Amino acid sequence: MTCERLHDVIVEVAAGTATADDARALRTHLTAGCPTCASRLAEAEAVVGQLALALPPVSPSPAVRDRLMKRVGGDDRVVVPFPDRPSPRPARSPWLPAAVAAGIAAGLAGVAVYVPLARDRDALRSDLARLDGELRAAADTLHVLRSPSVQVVSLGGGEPQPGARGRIFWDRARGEWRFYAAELRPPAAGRTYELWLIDDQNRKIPAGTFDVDARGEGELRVSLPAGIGTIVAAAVTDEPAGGVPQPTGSIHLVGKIEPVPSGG
Amino acid sequence: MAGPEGPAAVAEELALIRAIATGDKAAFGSLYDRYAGTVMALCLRVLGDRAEAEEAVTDVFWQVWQQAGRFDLDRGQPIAWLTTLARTRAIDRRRALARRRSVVLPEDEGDGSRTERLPSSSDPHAEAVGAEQGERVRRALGTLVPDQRRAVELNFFGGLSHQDIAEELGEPLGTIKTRIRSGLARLKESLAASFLGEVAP
Repeated sequence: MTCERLHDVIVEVAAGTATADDARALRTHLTAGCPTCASRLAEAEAVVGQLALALPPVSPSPAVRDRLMKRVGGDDRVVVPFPDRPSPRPARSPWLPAAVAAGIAAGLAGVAVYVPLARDRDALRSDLARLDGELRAAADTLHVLRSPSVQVVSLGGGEPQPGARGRIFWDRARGEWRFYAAELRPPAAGRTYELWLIDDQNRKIPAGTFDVDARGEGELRVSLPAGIGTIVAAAVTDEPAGGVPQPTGSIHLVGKIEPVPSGG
Repeated sequence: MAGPEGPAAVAEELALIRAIATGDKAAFGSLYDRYAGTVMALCLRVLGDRAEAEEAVTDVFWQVWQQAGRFDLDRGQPIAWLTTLARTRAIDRRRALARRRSVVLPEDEGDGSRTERLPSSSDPHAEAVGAEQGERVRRALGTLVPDQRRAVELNFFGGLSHQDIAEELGEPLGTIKTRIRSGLARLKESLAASFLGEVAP
């Protein structure tokens, strides 16, 4: 498709109404490297993004916020810190407390509305939110397993446990790892297993600790920040309970990660 | 590149996104409070049903929570990202609904003018917060000729494809494409001008 024909596609992609075929054609074209179309798309998205501000806001019911905060509260993902930033939490900016206060006020308004409701209805809603969360987690896992952008990495056992195995499903589009370990012995008392990302500078980035169950299986879900660099390997070591910022223990699982062509 | 919200607001939102990427739940709540009203308004436009729109809003913010780490901080404004997610989620939901039953278009108000009038807000607080930015964008929309504006609103608010709009209005597809393209170019100029303060309020 020519850039001229793609101009209309760009408008529809920005509007979210492009057909799958058109969107794919544009993606292919952009991946091949076309600065004209790339800047047209950025411009269209910027304008279209602001257009929604013309719509007078309509507040969703407080239950929507409630449900989301509950779901977020139960989300036990491990977030990998940015490699160039040792502290995982950036300093709070001065405006944030006010915004948080506004959030609390909105939450209180929700409470006021729901106080008259029967207790069992709250319990039901909480059950529903939990089930909803579990269902979404299962759907998420399925999505990752099906996604064409997923790379599968195998990890083999290290010296202490040659029979141990591990597998990582790396969803490059979503920047997410699903890590599963099998046939690992439970760690010694006061110790835990810790997963590491190793980049091409041989830096070891902590990606969370995990336990294994009676069958020797463990799992971890890891969100990777954008711009984390090129990850070339993954490893599991045993470490003091709670984990450590840099590996100290012996390697129980290790695997090399093949690079994929850029654009994936 | 700064939008009509101003660079300070954009910087605050980028800080929020970055905090959300580290799992900061309070920051997530703040972003929700800031934009749930706009996201809801957009989803309601596309879906025409409050309950469905609320489901879409839930999907959008859940996606924000999961993918904040993937947001390219250099790329642009969080509001553009949020509204792109909102359109995509709402349109996906409408397509799924259309497969189950035949509701596709938002409710017609009888005189065919469903996109000419913007709904009034039910939330005075949210309205005050977004009023100034909203007014700028509404003024920019006001510079379009009526045919252009109608097509632009059906595409960007209603979530109808160019093909759908052509069928809906009974006009050739090429005419609709040209109208929306030129409308968007005009909006870009008006928004840039109003940001620079070259357009008198």
